[in-house]
Amino acid sequence: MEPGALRDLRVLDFGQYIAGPLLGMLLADQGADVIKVERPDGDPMRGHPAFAVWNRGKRSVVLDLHTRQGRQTALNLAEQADVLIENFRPGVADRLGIGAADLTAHNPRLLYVSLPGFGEESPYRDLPAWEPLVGAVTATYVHRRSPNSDGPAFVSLPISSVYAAMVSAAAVGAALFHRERTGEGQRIEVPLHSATFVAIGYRLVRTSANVDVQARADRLGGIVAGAHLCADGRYLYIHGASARERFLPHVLDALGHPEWLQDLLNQQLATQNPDRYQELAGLFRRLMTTKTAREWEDLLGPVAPVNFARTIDEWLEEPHALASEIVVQVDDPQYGPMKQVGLPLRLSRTPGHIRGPAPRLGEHSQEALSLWGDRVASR
Amino acid sequence: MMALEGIRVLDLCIVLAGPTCGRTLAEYGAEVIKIDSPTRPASDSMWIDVSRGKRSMILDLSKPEGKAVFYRLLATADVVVQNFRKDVADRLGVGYEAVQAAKPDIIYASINAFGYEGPWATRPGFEQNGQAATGIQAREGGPDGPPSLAPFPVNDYGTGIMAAYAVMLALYERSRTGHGQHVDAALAYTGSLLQSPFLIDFAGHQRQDIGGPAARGFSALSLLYQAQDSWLFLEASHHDAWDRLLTLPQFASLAGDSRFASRNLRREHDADLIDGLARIFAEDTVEQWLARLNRAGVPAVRNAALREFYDDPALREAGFVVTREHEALGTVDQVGVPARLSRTPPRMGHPSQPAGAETETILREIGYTAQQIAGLRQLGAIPRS
Repeated sequence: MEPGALRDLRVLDFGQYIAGPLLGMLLADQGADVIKVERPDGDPMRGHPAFAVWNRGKRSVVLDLHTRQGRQTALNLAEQADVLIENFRPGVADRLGIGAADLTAHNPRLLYVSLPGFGEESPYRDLPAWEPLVGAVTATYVHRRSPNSDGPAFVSLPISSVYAAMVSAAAVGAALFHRERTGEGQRIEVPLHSATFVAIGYRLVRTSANVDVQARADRLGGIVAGAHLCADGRYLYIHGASARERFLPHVLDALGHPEWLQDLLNQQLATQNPDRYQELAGLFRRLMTTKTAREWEDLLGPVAPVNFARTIDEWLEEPHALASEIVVQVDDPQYGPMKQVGLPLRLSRTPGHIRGPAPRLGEHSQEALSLWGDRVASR
Repeated sequence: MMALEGIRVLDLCIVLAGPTCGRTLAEYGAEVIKIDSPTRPASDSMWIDVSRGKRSMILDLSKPEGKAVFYRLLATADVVVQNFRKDVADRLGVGYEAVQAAKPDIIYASINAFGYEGPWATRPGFEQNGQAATGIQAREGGPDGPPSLAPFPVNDYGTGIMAAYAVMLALYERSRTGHGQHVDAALAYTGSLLQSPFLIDFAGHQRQDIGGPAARGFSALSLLYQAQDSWLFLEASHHDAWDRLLTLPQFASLAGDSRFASRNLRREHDADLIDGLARIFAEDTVEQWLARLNRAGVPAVRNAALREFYDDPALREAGFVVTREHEALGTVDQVGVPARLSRTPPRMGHPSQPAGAETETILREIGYTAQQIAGLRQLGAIPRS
């Protein structure tokens, strides 16, 4: 196995549910030695298959932080750690005796990472960090109208949790580089609420000068761009760039209709020659129904940004997803051979790898004191 | 001191995912030179969001003199970031092999749609393609409807951050061993990470995909409800939240209902429970409900809309929404920086510059004379005007 860039890095992961464990996974995949500290009844996510993904390659140690012994073991481990992860509500880590002030005082090189739902100063600070609560306050559930519904559409992707994990992984990377140069550790805090604003991004940009934020979306419309119903009742998604100079000639060549190029590139066709526009729109729509969505993707995907809207089941089987190890298989003691997400970033010299399946609850508790060497055990 | 102080990045990226990598590095203190081609229009809202904190330069890499400028800059750089399709950077003469030959310890980040390995490695793709290919569009469209997009460009921004993480790991590695390397991130990697709770298969696995315009949540107790005036999200599926809910007199009718007497029964009668709760929530306003629910210790929030954020003092106070004066565009609202670091706090950096604002300054810094700069102008390697 190739060593990852984070070989030799010791991570003490008090994370539970999604964000904290996922940060631990992003570090473990790059070679870090991650000890997952669990309460006696375990991470509440245990029992959900995704637990096995977000906790792969870690070791599990059960500690009851409400007992003196449990707390002492945690403190001993924290003294040996390079990174500590916690995603309790603000103030809880302090109450449990593993707060940032104490731990960084004893271990000045420590990177202490907190991923609360909301920041200390937030009016929502006492709310639990359940993903849908963060989703609702970050305007993730947008009003959508359809034949059978009129209201906000729920989104089941855990956007806020995953963003908190990604943003904090980059923060840990920056802080490690800083520590390598100066010897200084530090406190890192990334509330889920805050991290989601990265994803909101340009959608929030507003200028007093007249820059139309929708301009880009509007000019990408037309006959070719968008979702098209195909022969098998599935949809092909043709990106707007496919309808413009760079890609359209390739698309039309592949479709066998190079003669449509001039009209389709004419942004004013609908107003200048509505009959021709309607005719072309009909021809294009009918053409799309002559092959399956996958057949169109095979034909057009290599030359233009075109993909069929496949289901996640289809993505799990897609030859590209498997060949590029976007989807990998891990032998899990509970679930057997288990397909799951591979490494979401690649480094050529220090590629990292999945260190193993998720641990059983407390699988490594017995060795807790010796896990990180004699210095812990001798205390 | 900033975490990445003294690190120089050459950013050849366009649109969103690629430039987000450079923006993130700039937030941590790197000096990022964003190099755009003369044909690339700039200053839309995406540009404003992802060019901030960067020095902007326009350079035509397809001209030998433009490429020569790039290689002179490279001698001073630690990191190159590009998001061309695979092979295009090679064709332009700025691919990893050529760059590494000139600067052996360079950290070179590539960002594309589907990764650098596998049969789709050279395929083009944008955010929407990443969402279509990996299953996000199909889920958002719902079981009966046409595909639909997730609410934000989640693949683009996430991929930029993952690439920045990769670059920082590579910087860490270089600081320990002296070696640079090639790193990559891709929209399809990120789309798959975002779906990691669903992107799972094993013998006997049953998946239930929730999505589409009619989706309101996971279950009756984790759902969007319409109050008299607007929508709220109720999250009462955990711990003792149900019991707390029943302490409110408005829900008394549910307390005695045998269909809802246990967790299992509530799951079994989920649709009935949704009906019952929906009728109750419709009676009063969101504000009234939140006051009651919060008093009872039941987690619930208003379902927000983006337009409300500009006038939310708490979001401004926290730095999530920031208003600044922009050289060319007047007052600009945009998002702040999400991470807080006690010793090396990240910064937003200066507002996005007009494209090419520092072309000449940068050329002079690396030793070009006024006469040579005029020559580059005449050749079209940098803009003529």
